[in-house]
Amino acid sequence: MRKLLACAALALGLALAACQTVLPSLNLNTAVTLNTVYGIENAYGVAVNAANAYKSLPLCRTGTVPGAANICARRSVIVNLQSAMRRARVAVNNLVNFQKTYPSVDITNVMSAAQSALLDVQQVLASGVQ
Amino acid sequence: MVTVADVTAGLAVAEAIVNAIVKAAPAIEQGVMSSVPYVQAIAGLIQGTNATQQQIDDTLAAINAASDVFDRPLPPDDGTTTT
Repeated sequence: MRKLLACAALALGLALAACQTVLPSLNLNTAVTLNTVYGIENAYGVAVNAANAYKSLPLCRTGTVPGAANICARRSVIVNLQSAMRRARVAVNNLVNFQKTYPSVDITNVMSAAQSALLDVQQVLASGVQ
Repeated sequence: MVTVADVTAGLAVAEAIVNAIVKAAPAIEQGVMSSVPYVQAIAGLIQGTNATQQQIDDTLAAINAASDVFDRPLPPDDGTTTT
């Protein structure tokens, strides 16, 4: 029985060894990291374009509020948005630089910072229609 | 009972809305069109396309340029746009 188990273990070990030699050379961690960074980056791109579209609207006149018949951008929202976008820019650039500098290190922390900064941008953008 | 005055008022509101949208349309259209490549890239990722370092670098450069435009200061407020 022991011999049988030893043979089975040996066979399994050889099979695993054989598997290791035919594994693809693609580094899955790197691919996942690149895709994650690229996804966040493109979300940031959409946010920047939305911010630019908002900023190109006519500024709301003092005492008026934006609405269906008064499509305008509030100066205070643009100023807040510029501040939020600057933070998002730093966070996304940090994410990309970190991933390039340390390709095999976990990006969770810098990614969370970028996500959080983009959520802030989203909230300020949403306040522009109120 | 809807009166002629109600209908006229409703039409005036509708006209104001259409006018506002027509005036803002170029800005809105520009924003939508500029976002297309980013949305397509996200769709590609969802469909299983893998990103490359070159794509990441090129995209970041383009976004940073657009971000520079957004960061330009607004014209000073003369009191008519204090909102």
